[in-house]
Amino acid sequence: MSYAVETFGLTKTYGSTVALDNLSIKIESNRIRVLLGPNGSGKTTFLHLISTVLRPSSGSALVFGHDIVKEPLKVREMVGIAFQEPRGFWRHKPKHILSFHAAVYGIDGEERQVRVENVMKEFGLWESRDKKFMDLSGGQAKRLEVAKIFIQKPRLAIFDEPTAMVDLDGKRLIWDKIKELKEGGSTVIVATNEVREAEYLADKISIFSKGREIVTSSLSELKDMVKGGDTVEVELSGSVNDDILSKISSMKGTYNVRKEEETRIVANVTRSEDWVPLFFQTFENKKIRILSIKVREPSLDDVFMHFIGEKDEENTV
Amino acid sequence: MKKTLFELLIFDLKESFNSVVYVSYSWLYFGLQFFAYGAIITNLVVSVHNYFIYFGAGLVVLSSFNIASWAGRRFVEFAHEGRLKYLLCLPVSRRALFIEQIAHGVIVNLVRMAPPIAVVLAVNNSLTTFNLLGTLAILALSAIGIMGLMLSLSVLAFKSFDIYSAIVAALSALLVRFSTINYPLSAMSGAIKSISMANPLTYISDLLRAFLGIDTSLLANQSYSIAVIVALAIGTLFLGTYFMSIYVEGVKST
Amino acid sequence: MSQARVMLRVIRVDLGYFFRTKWLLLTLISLNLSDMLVAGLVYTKIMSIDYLTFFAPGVVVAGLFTASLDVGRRVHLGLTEGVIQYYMSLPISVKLLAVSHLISAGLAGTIYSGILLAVASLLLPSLISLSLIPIVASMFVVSMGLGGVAAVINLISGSGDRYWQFAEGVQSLFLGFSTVFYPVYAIKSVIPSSIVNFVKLNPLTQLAEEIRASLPTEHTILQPYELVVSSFVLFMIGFLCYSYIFSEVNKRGKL
Repeated sequence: MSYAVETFGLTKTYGSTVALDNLSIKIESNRIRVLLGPNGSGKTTFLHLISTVLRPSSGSALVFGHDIVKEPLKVREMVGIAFQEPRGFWRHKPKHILSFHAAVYGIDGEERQVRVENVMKEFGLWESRDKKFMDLSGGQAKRLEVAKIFIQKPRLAIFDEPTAMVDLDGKRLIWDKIKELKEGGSTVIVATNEVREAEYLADKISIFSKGREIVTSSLSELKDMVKGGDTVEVELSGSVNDDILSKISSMKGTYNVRKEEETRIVANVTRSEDWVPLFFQTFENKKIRILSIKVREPSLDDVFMHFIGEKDEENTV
Repeated sequence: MKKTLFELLIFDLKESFNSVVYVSYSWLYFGLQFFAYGAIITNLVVSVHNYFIYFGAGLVVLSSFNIASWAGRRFVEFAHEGRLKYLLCLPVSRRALFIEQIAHGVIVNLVRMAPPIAVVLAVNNSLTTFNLLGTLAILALSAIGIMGLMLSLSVLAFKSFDIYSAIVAALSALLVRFSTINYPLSAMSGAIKSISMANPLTYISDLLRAFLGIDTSLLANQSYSIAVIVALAIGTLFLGTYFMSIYVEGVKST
Repeated sequence: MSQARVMLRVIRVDLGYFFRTKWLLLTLISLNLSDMLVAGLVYTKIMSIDYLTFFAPGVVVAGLFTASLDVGRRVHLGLTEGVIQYYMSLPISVKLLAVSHLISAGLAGTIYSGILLAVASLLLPSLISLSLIPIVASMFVVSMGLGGVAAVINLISGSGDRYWQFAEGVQSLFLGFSTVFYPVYAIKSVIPSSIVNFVKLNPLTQLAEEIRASLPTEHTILQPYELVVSSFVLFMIGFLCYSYIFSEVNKRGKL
């Protein structure tokens, strides 16, 4: 497996504030990695470090094998970043901003014109082409910021909250475009605190909190990591008694179980795909029959809160 | 509403005086212009008696004009930074907001200009309470007029900031050049003299010089000067409040 | 990927800012012209010298400051509007980014003052000669040095909103302590000799004197090598200031 980004104890401090704390992380090539975390969790700092916008206080990082401190120019040639706050001179028009970006990355002549025009049309900016940057709405400015990356098509595309302030249609458009970018061979890193965005885009999710990476995995694996994250609702043919509850409690994978109604129980379990067959085995020879069974996986919201909460508890202790 | 206005005024004043370094720097800058450049140019001027003090009075008016212009332009910057939207949602009328902006500009002007005026009066051996208060009163009145003008022009900025900047820069510079800030009417001829005689800065400068005992044959008529300054202040106050109440939010206010 | 390409683009953006509106440019030019024609003419009547002839080259030199400081203002806006961080993500080194802004200042000053020089030539026809070529070259060199002065102002004013206030002060110092507006003998009689040395070394003095040297009636204190040396010193100071500013943004995320 080749890595687009590898960091080794990467740390960034501002005075006594530790924005990124000893981060060692690997991001696979040609995948979409989503960084999920609350405000101030270090996502943006991490993105600015690997795009060489900021210099690390200690530690190091490689982008496609190039050191961000020793070879910043090589890194910049391969990286494109769409900032959280759109960056542009207030008096420039969208076309000017995109043409500048294209020219800097060696897209010249007619190709530049065509690409800029196409991207502006794709991102719904064509109607605003004669407005100044400072007169764009928040959503338009954000689309413009993101559009830069689609002009450039870098090997490593970085998006910091790409759909903040963007309307629902725009969000879906940007997400689909990000996926296209990956299909075209780019590695993509997206920082967000919007769970739906992470669910839609991520090959893998890294959850950040307080400058540290808490966990990294695929969405399904993350869900499985949540103890008692799956909820199983069972309707039985007879009354639920203490003996039944006790048997279920003692089953492997049960996190907790409660009686909801006379004939209905709700159990929070880990890995429902293992737990449900075991449940059937346990009640196979009993007089009581299972009338229905419903399984609900944890949402990414639950996963996120689980890990962030866990981290907070650790810190409290 | 009065309390909100007062709070707003205090907030603006604190912001304008938050840098002691900058205020001190502006006084030093005045001192440099007066004592160095004023002295050098006085060496070259042969036909204006006591040109050093003549220059000093012009410099006071120029500095005061710049402060008043800045305070007016600041309002336009509010519009572009988004602060104006916030101000417009406060429980104060547009007219009251305009008066508050004027009051802020006048207070800043007086505080910033009092020491330079005192210095020029002292160099001229005419530093008395009467002269100091008299010159400050002239500056306060003229600051109202200049700020009113700049705030009225800010209506343009809602269409294009560039056009506004160009017009204000041109107007400011032309007002200074076609006036008696740097040279007397007697040295001018033709169109330059005619334009200068229609310029309020001529009357502000010359009225100030009258307090400094400059040869009155070089100056515009004093009674006429007072009338022009008062008319400018009242005229631009009316104009500004009218524009403010009608155009600032883009629709006619109720 | 060539850093030269990024440099060219940055320079183009800087120049585009200065020449952004014909309104502003026309206004600035007409102001400088009114300086020449109004102030020059009126002062001639009350002064002991032919001030119009003396002053017209001075206005051309003062125009360099207008343009160079405006390019500096562009960098200042880049700092406050966050564009410098965007530049940091582009394939250009901090040092070359600094050089780009200084070259922009040089070009903006030369183009703008070139227009003023053309107007001054109408007033003073003897300016039109072969000496115009070295004058234009000197304008570029001095203007790059003034770009360095703008870098210092950027460093002093940081990301606050005092750029123009400090610029006004610095501009006044450089113009006031030079022979742009007054002949050196008038300065000598008022200013301590140590400052008179600054006046002589000031590249604005040197450029003003170089332009006046082409006028038969004017006596100059021209030392051409001093113009290059003093401009180079300012250029280097500017280079260090910009490099420091951009490095700070790279290190701390802000100035």
